Amino acid sequence: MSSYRRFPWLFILPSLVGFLAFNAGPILISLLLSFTKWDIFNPLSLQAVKDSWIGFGNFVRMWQDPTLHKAFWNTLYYVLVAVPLEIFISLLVALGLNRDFPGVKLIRTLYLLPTVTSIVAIGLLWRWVLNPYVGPVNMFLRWAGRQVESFFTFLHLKTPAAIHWLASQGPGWLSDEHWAMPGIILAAVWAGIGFRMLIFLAGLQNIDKTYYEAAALDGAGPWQQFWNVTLPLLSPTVFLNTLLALIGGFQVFGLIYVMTGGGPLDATNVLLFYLYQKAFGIFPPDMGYASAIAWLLFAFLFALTVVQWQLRKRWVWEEA
Amino acid sequence: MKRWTLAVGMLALVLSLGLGMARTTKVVVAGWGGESEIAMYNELLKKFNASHPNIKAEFMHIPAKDYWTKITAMFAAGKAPDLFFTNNINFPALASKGVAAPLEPFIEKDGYDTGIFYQGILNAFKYEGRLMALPRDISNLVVYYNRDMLKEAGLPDPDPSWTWDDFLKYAKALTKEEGGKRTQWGVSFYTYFLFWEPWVWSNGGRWYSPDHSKFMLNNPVSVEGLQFYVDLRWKHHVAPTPAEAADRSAYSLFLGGKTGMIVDGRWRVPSLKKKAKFDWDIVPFPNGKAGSIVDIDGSGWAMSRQSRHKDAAWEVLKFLAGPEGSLAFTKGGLIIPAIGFDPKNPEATNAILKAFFQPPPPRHQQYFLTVNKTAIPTETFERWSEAQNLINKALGPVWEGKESVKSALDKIAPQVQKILDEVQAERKK
Amino acid sequence: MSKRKRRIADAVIFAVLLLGGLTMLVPFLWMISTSFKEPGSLFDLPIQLWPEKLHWENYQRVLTAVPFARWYFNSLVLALGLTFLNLTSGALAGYAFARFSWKGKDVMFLFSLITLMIPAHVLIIPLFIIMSRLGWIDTYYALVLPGLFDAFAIFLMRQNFISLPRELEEAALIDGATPWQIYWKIALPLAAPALATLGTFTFLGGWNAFLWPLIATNSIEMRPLTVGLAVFNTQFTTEWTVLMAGLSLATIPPIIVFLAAQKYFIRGLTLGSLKG
Repeated sequence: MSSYRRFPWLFILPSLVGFLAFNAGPILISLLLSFTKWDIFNPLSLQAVKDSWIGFGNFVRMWQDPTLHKAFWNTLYYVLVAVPLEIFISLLVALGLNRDFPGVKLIRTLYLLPTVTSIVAIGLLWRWVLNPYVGPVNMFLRWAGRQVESFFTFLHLKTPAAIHWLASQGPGWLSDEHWAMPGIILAAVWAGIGFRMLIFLAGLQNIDKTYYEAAALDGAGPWQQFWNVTLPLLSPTVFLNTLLALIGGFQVFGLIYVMTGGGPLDATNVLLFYLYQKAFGIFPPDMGYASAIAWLLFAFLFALTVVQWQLRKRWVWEEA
Repeated sequence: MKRWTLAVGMLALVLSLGLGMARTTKVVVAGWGGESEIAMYNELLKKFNASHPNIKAEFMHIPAKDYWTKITAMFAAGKAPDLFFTNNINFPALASKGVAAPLEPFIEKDGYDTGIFYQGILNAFKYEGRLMALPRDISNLVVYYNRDMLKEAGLPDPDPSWTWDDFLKYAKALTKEEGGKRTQWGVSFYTYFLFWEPWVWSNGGRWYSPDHSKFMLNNPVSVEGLQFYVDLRWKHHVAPTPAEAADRSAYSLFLGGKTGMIVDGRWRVPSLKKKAKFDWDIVPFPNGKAGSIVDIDGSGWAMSRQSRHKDAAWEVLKFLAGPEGSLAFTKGGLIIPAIGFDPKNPEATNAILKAFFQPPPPRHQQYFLTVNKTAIPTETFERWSEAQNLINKALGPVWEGKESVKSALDKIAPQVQKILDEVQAERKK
Repeated sequence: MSKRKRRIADAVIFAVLLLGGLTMLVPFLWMISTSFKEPGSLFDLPIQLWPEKLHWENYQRVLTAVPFARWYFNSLVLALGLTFLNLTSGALAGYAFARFSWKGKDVMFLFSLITLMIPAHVLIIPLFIIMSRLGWIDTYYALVLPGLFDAFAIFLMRQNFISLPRELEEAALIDGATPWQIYWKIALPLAAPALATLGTFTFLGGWNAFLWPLIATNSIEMRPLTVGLAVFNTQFTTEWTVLMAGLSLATIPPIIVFLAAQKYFIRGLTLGSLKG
């Protein structure tokens, strides 16, 4: 069926009104503000914008702002590690839950509980889980380290330093500059599995069972079935999920806010957290700079989305 | 016919509007607080409205953690509340933006006596010599101690004249070790600036030069004071390390009888009264080289410059900060009232003091008031919060025992100094 | 042999999944258990998973000391209002982008996607200024109307309509049905699963919203739960037990919505998968 070739006023109107009334204005204003050092106590007007106009001043400042650079690299670090992990683990969970066994609905529901639990409760609990001294993660690591250590002693070998470190101390997690981000990623991936899993599950359920039957007739084992049937047919969902996860990853905020406040020494300070600090965390707020950071973030997301969109034909099955 | 009804309608509208305005002026007071404080505000303002038929004062509650976000948004839209509650720490930033209306014109017109308030807290609300807010409360710090624990260690109640050395001696005596593991510590350890700045000041140090032109926290005297505090944890081991505290808060360690002393504020009294399973009391902060100097910070109400009903707002402000308001908030039990004494109204002031001095513990409640004589406000300025972020960040490894105070502060000194220089330049304009 | 191996593998997978799922339960249970702890308990570590004695007074307090019912109602208005607007306008626009073509369509779609990529934190103050010019601050309008446009909804619905089979719609067109009739009578009913999915996400989003409702309301009576409960988070202390009692009660509607939508859910997202 060829599309109707006209502008569907009736269909577009509600969204258009909403966009023009409540979205276009704020977006335009934030773009304007990114070129100013607007004093937030000075009621916003065209004159106020004009008076505080500094051209590309905020963007030049970003160029020279070491904390921003750190936040940028931290964001990349987070996205590059957390997004693949989240996609991979949630895909595994979805594959496991995409079958019929007693209690499967209950387990699916369990995985969605983090989405209704207070993020403060989640964050604080993870702080305890990752507590280097009394948290269960390090307790387990120390126990495991000691087992390995005694094994080495048993063989009259010198224990490697890494094992000894694990047995006696273990990672400092949120209080250690190098371990804080891994700690955040652990918590964020854990909390994000449910949502992504649901999207994968939906994709999996849509795959026609006859494909598997045909593959089985051809003598394909479980692995071959996965590589040759499941993955290609699921690729549109993988694409959707990856795109959403990337956009979400670049805007990670909540758990960092609760768990580390961007520390220690800015080790978990990401772009959105830095922006939040500039817009609401310091006093008086620096809305102009915050807006500039927002537009920088936007530029990256936009570029990334365009690239993804272009690349999808290469690997997304139904797009080819 | 149509035109006629329209005209009558318009007239009626104008009249009703005009009458309405003549009858009441609305004054909005913004503030934070828990639900008991909301009730106090509502009750107070009801009383005010009853005695002031021309004014209708209304309380606008804003949650404490997001207070400034909401306030700044209202200013940005030109819809600021007529009066807003503020602490002195954010105040220079506000005042320098011309957000608050100076109160002198009203004070002069009324012949209002600001002498009823403690001078220290009035100074904290002055910007370029002009008073910008009337104070409600004072927060300062004292040393809370577990009397049972002191008795057990054979220590007498400390005297206000005690020194840092005495403090360390007490802390050492209160620290217990069993099988190579410490099970009890002398003092709880806070890392928030309010709780460590007394160690800087009492040693004779400062954060900044008085005109905020120079960063002084990395000067030898300041560093020595702060390092003494850090050494309590990492050298003398009389304060729990993060490992030993295992994420229990400083206060909960004291409340749970794990530490013998804690430097803390008046707001702990209701909770300690209700929950402490031991006898406790307070004593002023120990004397360093420069004496016993803690912070005197506080909060009060400022009038926004955007307010269109300043005269009415002034009436509400006087009422809230005055004896009646002060009495109500003091009864709430969380605050130290900012009103010291009103010679014109001795009964009212006595009522406030009576409300403040609730039955012990602590036995030596007067220390909450006597420490105000030497206390000084936090050295805040226009871009204090930005500089504070830098300092907090730098001190992170110091609290973890990984870096010395000197090296951490020296590292960020140029960045802080740059902020100070910019502030100086801004002021000259 | 192979069958037995298979069964063992299944059991292992099941155990791992169950274990993973149980970890998801812990914070939820902790939230609920904290709500039963002695009032004034410090939300402190090491954690105590279950209180020695159930303290119902936290619930009593949250239900009586603050206008809890009103906040609950406001949250429902906010979440349901947003969901309704979102579904209506999102489905309409999604259909338009899927089935119509006009000059500038791509640019319009691009513009709508852009809104997903600009952090909301910098849009909130400008939006507040616009709303206060309109005089809508402290009204339900300010809370709900921004949901009129939502790029995520349009995107999801567009993908859904594109993936629907066109045969039915083509037949109707030949029979002389107008686009509006086709949308209303054929496409929309087929999209029910996608609508349920989108509805759940939007409901959750509205129910958990904090920053915008905080800025957009002035009076205590107009607040949703998220903002209202912040009253227990005061300058000096946080009343964790009472706060958690309120938050625990607040999880009921999302769970109901989730359970009700679950049977549509799973099929809904399938149809939303990208077929571009």
